[in-house]
This record gives sequence, structure tokens and C-alpha cells, in this order.
Amino acid sequence: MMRWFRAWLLRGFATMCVALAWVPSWAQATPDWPVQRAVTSVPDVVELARELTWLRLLHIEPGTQQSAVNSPEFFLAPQGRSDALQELQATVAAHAEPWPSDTNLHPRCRFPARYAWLASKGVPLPGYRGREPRCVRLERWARFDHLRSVSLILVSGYFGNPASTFGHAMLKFNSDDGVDSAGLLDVSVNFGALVPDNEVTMLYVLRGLMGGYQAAFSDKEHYSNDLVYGRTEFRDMWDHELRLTDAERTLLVLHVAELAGKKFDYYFLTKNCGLRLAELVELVTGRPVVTSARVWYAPVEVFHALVAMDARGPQILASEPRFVPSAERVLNHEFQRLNPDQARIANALIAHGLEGLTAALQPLPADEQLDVLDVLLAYQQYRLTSEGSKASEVTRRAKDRVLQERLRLPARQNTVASVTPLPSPAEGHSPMLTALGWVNGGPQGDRLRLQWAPFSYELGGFHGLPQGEVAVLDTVLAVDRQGDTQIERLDLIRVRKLSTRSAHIEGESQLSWQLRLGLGRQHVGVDHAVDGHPRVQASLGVGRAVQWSGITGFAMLDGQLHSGHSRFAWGPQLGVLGGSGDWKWTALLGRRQNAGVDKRAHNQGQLEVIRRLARDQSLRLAWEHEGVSRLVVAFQQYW
Amino acid sequence: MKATKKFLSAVAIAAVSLTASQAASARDFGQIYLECGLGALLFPTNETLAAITNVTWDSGTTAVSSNVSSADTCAGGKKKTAAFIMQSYAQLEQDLARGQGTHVSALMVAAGCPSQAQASLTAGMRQDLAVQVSAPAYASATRYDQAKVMYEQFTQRAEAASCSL
Repeated sequence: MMRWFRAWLLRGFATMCVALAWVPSWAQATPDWPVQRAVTSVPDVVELARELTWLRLLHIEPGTQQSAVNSPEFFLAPQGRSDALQELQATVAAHAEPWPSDTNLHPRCRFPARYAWLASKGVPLPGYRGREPRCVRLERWARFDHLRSVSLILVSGYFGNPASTFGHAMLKFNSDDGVDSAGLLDVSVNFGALVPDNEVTMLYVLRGLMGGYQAAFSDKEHYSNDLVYGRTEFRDMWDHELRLTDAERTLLVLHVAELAGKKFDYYFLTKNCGLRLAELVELVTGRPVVTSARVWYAPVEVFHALVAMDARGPQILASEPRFVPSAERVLNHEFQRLNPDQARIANALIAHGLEGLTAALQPLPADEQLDVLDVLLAYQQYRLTSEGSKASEVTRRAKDRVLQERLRLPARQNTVASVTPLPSPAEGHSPMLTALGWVNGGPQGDRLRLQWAPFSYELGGFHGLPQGEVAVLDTVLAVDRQGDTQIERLDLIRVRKLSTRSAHIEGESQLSWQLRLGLGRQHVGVDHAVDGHPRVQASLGVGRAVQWSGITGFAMLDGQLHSGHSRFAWGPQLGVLGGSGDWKWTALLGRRQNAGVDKRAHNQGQLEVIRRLARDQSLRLAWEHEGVSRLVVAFQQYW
Repeated sequence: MKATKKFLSAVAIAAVSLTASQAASARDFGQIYLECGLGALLFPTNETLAAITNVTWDSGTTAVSSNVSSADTCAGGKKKTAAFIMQSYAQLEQDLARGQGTHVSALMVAAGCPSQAQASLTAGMRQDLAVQVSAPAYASATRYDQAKVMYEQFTQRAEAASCSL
């Protein structure tokens, strides 16, 4: 008997040891989150299936009964994609399904947002727990116990990729990780097209515009996105932290988990990152964020909507946007902070090589040597990144030489002065422009001027592109007193990039450039009359720009191909722009010399003052000259 | 005697079970990348590893699969640390050269290092990097090789400092 009992005890002990070794983490107690429960009676599922929140959870497109999600695994019912009621019934029924061996595959773990919402509406879900410990991957990924807030991040435009020219938006789950002050380990979420490698650019543009790609939400730890946007593409970012309740924040995180990897149609202009992130904010707040994507929903639009919501109240933004400068901007800032001796030595080392690095630094005090080395290291890394996969051995060795020298010298706990924040583009005007103006002067007499552009960040305007200009489909019509209408201008694309790097870094290009493609009308004929016919024109200009005390000046040399008589024209263009508060001004002066059979030349000039009346409204007063002079007064409304 | 043997066997089974989860985490740098699909983001340096990448250039229009569904064996401190070092190597070089920075701070968090150990760990990593950079082979080493060395040196120091890798 005793032998039997002892054997039983030993087996039990061994079994217990084995069991303890394999106790899954989900069996440990996990705290729950607040779920707003309004359990007064069993709700009518037919009514529930019509509720906006349920439709938004399924991404049913407004005005349709069809979900925007293409992935069949997003739906539990056979017709779930087009039948919200059937999908709701299937979701409720699936709650009671037996748990598979991989518990993460249970519908409770695959659709946690749906169940959180259904529970809050009082739908009976026996055994429902807000935080289901068997959803191991969800718990591990979401890190609910560390989740502090959610941010929407606006990434500045990038001319290196057609789809990125107008900026980008992504989501970030901010955690309270103490020393990780930059949130590099936080989850950040992107929505973007699934583009095959080495896609030809023209095909990329066409397929992006015409819906030729699928898109999906993806998540990475934020340092990956920071590396791409801020340290490789050298784009600035603005972090807009949202003011959400605990329940709203939780629902957002749960729904992103539901959506991860699910496919949507992608249209660059309308069904893009801006729209999908705006839908998420709408879902959890119940507040309208998505303005109807008329022609174009630029990523910045969701931020404009947030700023407008904030102004109307209640507040949706937790604080002022946090500016995250690009690595290039930080480098320029640190270089500019060098004193003249430091800058001279740094530039000499860049220009002539680093063999005499140690000796070159000797004249400087110890702290100043460290400044120069820190900047040189940042510069060499910038060069390596810019050179990309073609990074030369020379650049790599230069970086390593600086690194070796810096590591030889002491570490220090200095505080690098922060880069002066740039205002968020969301504080500028909305992207679509309509304008109504009056033109006085010129051979055609007084006339009305109508202008429309779906995207217009014009030179010297109140927008998020300092010292730059991007306009698409900028159309200007003139209507004379007889009602005759003609196209004055149609710029398919107009871009101007003024590089006003504040620090002189040896060898670094400070080239500014501008290009324009569209239709134009030459206002100078044989007798200075209007030519009469619009002509296709494409122009490209390069030059230099400087900035001093809030005023930017530039000089470009332009070349233009056009369908007029002489086919080619060229000439210089000078510009100065500045402003203060609600006033901005621009002065342009140029000369256009025809290069073909018709060798005429004419001067061009423009003096413009813009007074901002409200965030999306301004008054423009301009004097324009191209052979003849005109005065223009226009009211500008942005949308 | 038979009961003793059975008892010892049971204890051995239990001991093996208890250590099984620890053994699973003692994979080297290369194994983590192969099993967790973490290829080089920049400058593919190892063709085999780079072929198993789930990351492509993301200029705001591309997307990758989600970490929500990533394998359980690819969760945890060592995978997180390895991935971070591989992708952030250039930033870690800069931070360690200065002696402080956001990326070296994040590395400490990724490895679960106690706050009181972080300063000495950073100093130790700086010393290790100084030795590595001084070696003639450093300039021609691939990113993978450089990250591998940093990872191995760091995990040794981190384990000694009771980081929860």
C-alpha cells in the first residue's frame, strides 16, 4: 500500500513538474480593460447590423453594402462581404466555437474589436473576456499594459517617389517604455500598396492611379519606419497625439489587429493611407473625419480634419504636434552650430580626406574636437545613405576612420540643442484651391478669372512646404465681358524646390530646381497682342537659393520647349519671397528669349501679396507683366 | 531501487522540460534571421538571409505582412534585439561613438535591461565597438557580419547584467 502510494506520489510530482514547465502564458491572469457595457436588454441584432460602428468595423463603403476589404478571411459568413447582418450573426455564433490547438486562430482572437463592441452593446457572449489570455499573439503584439496613447504621424513629401510627393500618414501606438523616449520600439502601422519589386515607374504611376494594386495595413516597430522616412528618404515628420478615451484607444488597437494583412483596393488619389487612417479615427471616435474623397484625398487632409475638429471641440489632439526632423535636417543644424574654426576644419577634412584627421583637430579644445567628430560622423553616415547600394569603399572607410577617432576619445552626456520645429503642414491651408478674381488691364480688357487646382501648394503660400511649390492640374480660366471663356493656363504639374541649406557643407549640392508641364498662353505677339492660342509647354530650370532673416531669394536658368513657333525659349528668373504673420509676398522677375526662327524676347514680372483671412481663405493682390501689365485681385478658398 | 530510478527519471524529464524553453532561445544570430524572416533591409549582405526577407522599401506605398501573426518562436527579447541591431546598426555606431542616444536607449529596452545597468552596458558596448573598428577587417566586413558581432558581444554583456533577453 505504502509502495503504491509512494509511486503515485512520485508520478504525480513528475507530472506536475512537466506540466509546470509547459504552462502556457495565457493561463496567467491578465487584467481586463474597461468595456462600456450598456446591458439593459438583449439588443436587436438587425438594428445592430445597421449601426455605423458595425458597418465601419466591416469597412462597408458609404452608399454601398459592400465591404472595401477583399480578403475572404476577414469574413465569417459566406456573404459577409456584402451582408452586414449575416456577418454579425456569424460573428456572434463564432464566439462559441471550440478553441483550436492554436488558440490564436479562434474568432475571438481574430476579431477582438468586433467582440469588444458587441459586448459593449449587450450582446450575450457567454464567457467573453475583454482581454482573452488565450489570444497570446494579440497580447504580445498590442502590449496593452504599456500602451499609453495613439498618434497619427504626418510624413513630409518626398520627390524621390511619385507616390510620396504629397506626403504620407501612419499610425503609432505610443508606449510608456521609459528611456525609449523616441518611441523606436512602439508599433507603427502603415497602409500602402503592395508593389512588386523593380516595378517600372510609369507602370507604377498608372497602376497606382487606376486601382491596379492591392493594399494592406502593415505593422513594424517604429524604428524601421523611422529609418526609412527620416534617415534614408530624409523626410520630416510631425507626430499628432490623439486624445482618446481608454475604450476608444483599445478599440482602435484591436481593430488594427483585425485588419493586419487584409487586402483592400488601392487608388493613389482616393483610397490611400490618408483615407484608411481617417476611417479608423472615425470608427473609434464616432466623429466624421473623412471628408468625401472628391477628386483627391491627400494624406494631409486627415490632419486638416483633426485640426478642424479640435477647433470645433471637443479636442481630438492631445497636444501640439511633435516635430521629428529628418537626419539631413539634424545634420545641417549641427553643422551650422559649429564655430567658424570648427566648420573650416570639418570642410577641409571633407574636401581633402581624413588622413590627417588627428592632427587637423589638435588646434581645437577637447570639447570642440568632439563636436567636429560627431558632425563628421553624422555627415559620413549621410553620405553613405545617400549613395545607397552604390556606397563607395572610400565613403565607408572615411566613416570608419571618423568612428575610430571618435571612439578613441571620451563619451559625453551632452544635450544636443533641438532643431527649431517647423509648423505642421496641417496648420497650413487645405490642398484644393478654388479662386475667383478680377483682372484689370491687358489687350483683352477687364475679365473674370476662375482658378481650380485639386492640389496647390503655391510658391509663397500658407502651406506646409516652405520654400517650395507643388501644384497639380492648376487651371486658370478667363471670362471676358462678352462671356467668352478661354484657358489662360493649365499646369498639369508644377514643382519648385528651393534648397536653402543654412550650413555650407563642402561638396554638398545646393541645387534648386523647378519644372512645369502644361498649357500656357503667350501674351506677347508681334504687336504685343495676345497670341490667341494656348500652347503645350514644358520647362525645366536649375539654380541656387539663399535664405536670410526670413526672406528667400533664388535665381534660376529656365529652358522651355513649347508648341509655338520658335519651339524653344530660355531665360533667367529671379525671385524673392517673404512674409510675416498673415501676410506673404513674392516678387518674380524674368526674361524669356525665343531661340528659334522667332528671336523675340520679352520680360516677365510679378509682384504678389497674399493676406490670409482664415486658415483656408486668403486674398491675393498681384501685378503681372508679360509684355503687358495686369492687376489681379482674387479671393482664394481652399478645401 | 526501481522506485529511485523512476524518481530520478521523472526529475530528469522535468528538468529537461523546464530547460527546453530556454534552449529554444539560445539560437544564434543567423538562425534568428532565417527562422524569423528578418533579412537585411539595406545593403543585403548575405544572399541566403536576404532572400528570406519580409521587408521591402517602404516609401509610403508598400506594405508587408503583420507582426500580429508572426511565429511564437520569433517573439521575445533575442529576436527583437537581433532585428534592432541589424537594422539600426548605423545609428548604434553613432550613438555609441557619442556615448548616448535614442537608439542605444531603445536597445536597452528591447533587451529588457534594468535601468541601473544601462550606463555600464553602453560603456561596455562602446569599448567593444572601439576594438572592432580598429581591426583592419572592419571596413570590409558586411553589415551582417558587423551586426552579428555586436549582437553576440551585447547579449553576453546583457545576460551578465541580468537583462531579460
